[in-house]
Amino acid sequence: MMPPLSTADTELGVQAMATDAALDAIETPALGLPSAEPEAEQAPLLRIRILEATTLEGPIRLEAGEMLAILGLDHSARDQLTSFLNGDKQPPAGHLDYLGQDLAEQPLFWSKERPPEILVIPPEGTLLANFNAWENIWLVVCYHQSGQTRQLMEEVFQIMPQLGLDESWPIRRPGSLDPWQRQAISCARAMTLQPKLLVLNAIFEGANQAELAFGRQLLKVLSTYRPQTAVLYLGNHLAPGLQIKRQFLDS
Amino acid sequence: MTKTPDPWRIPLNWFGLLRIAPIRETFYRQVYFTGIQAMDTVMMRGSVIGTLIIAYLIKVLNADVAMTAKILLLFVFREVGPLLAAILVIFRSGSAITSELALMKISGETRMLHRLGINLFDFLVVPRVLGVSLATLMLTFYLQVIILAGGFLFAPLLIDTNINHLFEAFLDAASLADIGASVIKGLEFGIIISVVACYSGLSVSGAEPSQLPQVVTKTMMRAFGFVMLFEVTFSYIVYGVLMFGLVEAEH
Repeated sequence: MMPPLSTADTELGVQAMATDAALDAIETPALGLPSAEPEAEQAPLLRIRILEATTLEGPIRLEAGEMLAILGLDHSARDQLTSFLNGDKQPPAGHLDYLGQDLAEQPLFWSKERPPEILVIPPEGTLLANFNAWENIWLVVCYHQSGQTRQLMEEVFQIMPQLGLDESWPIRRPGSLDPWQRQAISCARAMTLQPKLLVLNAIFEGANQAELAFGRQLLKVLSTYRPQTAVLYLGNHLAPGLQIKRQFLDS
Repeated sequence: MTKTPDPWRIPLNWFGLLRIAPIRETFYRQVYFTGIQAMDTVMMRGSVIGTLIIAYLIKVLNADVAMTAKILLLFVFREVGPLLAAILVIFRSGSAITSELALMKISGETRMLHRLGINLFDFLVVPRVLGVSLATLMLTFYLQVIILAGGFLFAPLLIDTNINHLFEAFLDAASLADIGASVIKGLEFGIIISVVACYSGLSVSGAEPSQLPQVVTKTMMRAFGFVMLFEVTFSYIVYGVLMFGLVEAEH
C-alpha cells in the first residue's frame, strides 16, 4: 500500500473556528437563507485537514456521514484526486479509505449496473444548458427509476428554499442562475442518487461572504437529509480565503 | 435497476427507453423541432420547387396526360419528395444536433451525465435517432403531398387536361409499393442523418468551441453523401433489380 502521509497535516477541531455572529446577521438575509441557529447549539460539521504539500500523498479515511475538508490542493492536484474518485485513473500516491475500504480497490463504487455511489460536484455545477433546473434533477431521478421519484422530487422542493432559492427556480435555465444557485441545484441533483460519498470540488472557491452562507446551509442540509452520506470538500490553501472559509467551516 | 446500455442492442429495444419520461420528452422535442416546426418553412419551398420541376419536365418532354402522371409518380413522388425532405432535415436538424451535442461535450455536460450514471447512448442518441427518423418520414409525406398538389394544380395550365383526369392517371400508375418505398426511404434517411449528426457531435475532441463550424460542415457533407449513396443503392435494387428484373437493370 501507499506510504503513510509524509506531509505535516493538521486536523482542526471545528470549534476552533468560531462563527462570527455579526457576519451571520449580514450575510444570511442576503440570499434569503433561514436564520442561523445560535452558535452554542451548532454541532460541528466539518473536520479539516490541511495539506502542506499540494498533492495527496497519504491515506484519507472517511466514515459514513463524516464531513471532511481537504485544503491545500492546487488545481492540478484536485483534478488528479477527482479523476481518481471518478474512477478514471489510479492515484499516483495515497489512497482514500471509505468505511475501511480502499476506494481504488473497490470498482463497485463506479459500477455500470447501478447509480454511482461517489459523485463529484465541480465548481461550475455543470447542469444541462438546454434543460431548466427542474428538468435537470427530474432527468436523473426518472432515469434511475428508484421507485421513489415522487418522494425524491418532493424532498428537492423542500430543500431548495433552505438553500436560498426562490420559488422560480424550477423553470429557470442554468444560464440565468448565479454560480452558487447552479451549485445548489447540482448538489440537490446529486442528493437524489443518495450517494455514499459526495465530493464538493472547490465549489465555494471565490465565493463572497454572502454566498458562503449558502455553503454553510448546504452542509446543514446534507447532514439533515443525507446523514449517511460522507462529504469531502476539496479546496485550495486557507491563506487567501481564511476569513471567508471559516464562515462555513465553523458550522 | 439502472438500464445499462449496450449500444448494439437491437433497435426495437430502443422503444422501451421511451418509457423513461425525460427520454420520451427529448424524443417529442426532436419530433417537434425536426418535423412539425419545419412544416411551414417547407410548404412554400416544396410547392415552388415541385411546380418548377413539373413545368420544366412537361415542357421539355412535351408530355401528355399519361406522361405527366408518370413524371409525378416516378420522379416527384419517388425521388424528389424523399430527397428534398432529407436535404431539409440535414440543413435544419443535422446541423443543430451536431452543434448541440458538440457543445455539450465541450462544456463537460456529457461527462457529467456519465458521472450521474446516465448512459449517453440512451439519453442523447436514441431519442434523437427515433425522433429524426419519424420526423423525416412525416416531412417526406408532407412534401410529397405539397409537391403533387402543386403539380396537379399547375400541370393543367400547360397541357390539355383537368385535375380529375390527371389524378386518375396518377392513381392508375401508382401502387402500394410506392408508398412502401417512401416509408423506407423516409425512415432510412432519418436514421442516416441522425446517426451521422450524433456521431459527429459526440466525437468532438478537446475543448475548443472554434471546432464547431468545421464539425457542422463536415457532418452536413457526410450526411448528404450517405443519403445519396443510399438513394442510388435503393433505387438500383428496388426499381432496377426487383421490379424490372436484373437483366433490365444491367442494360
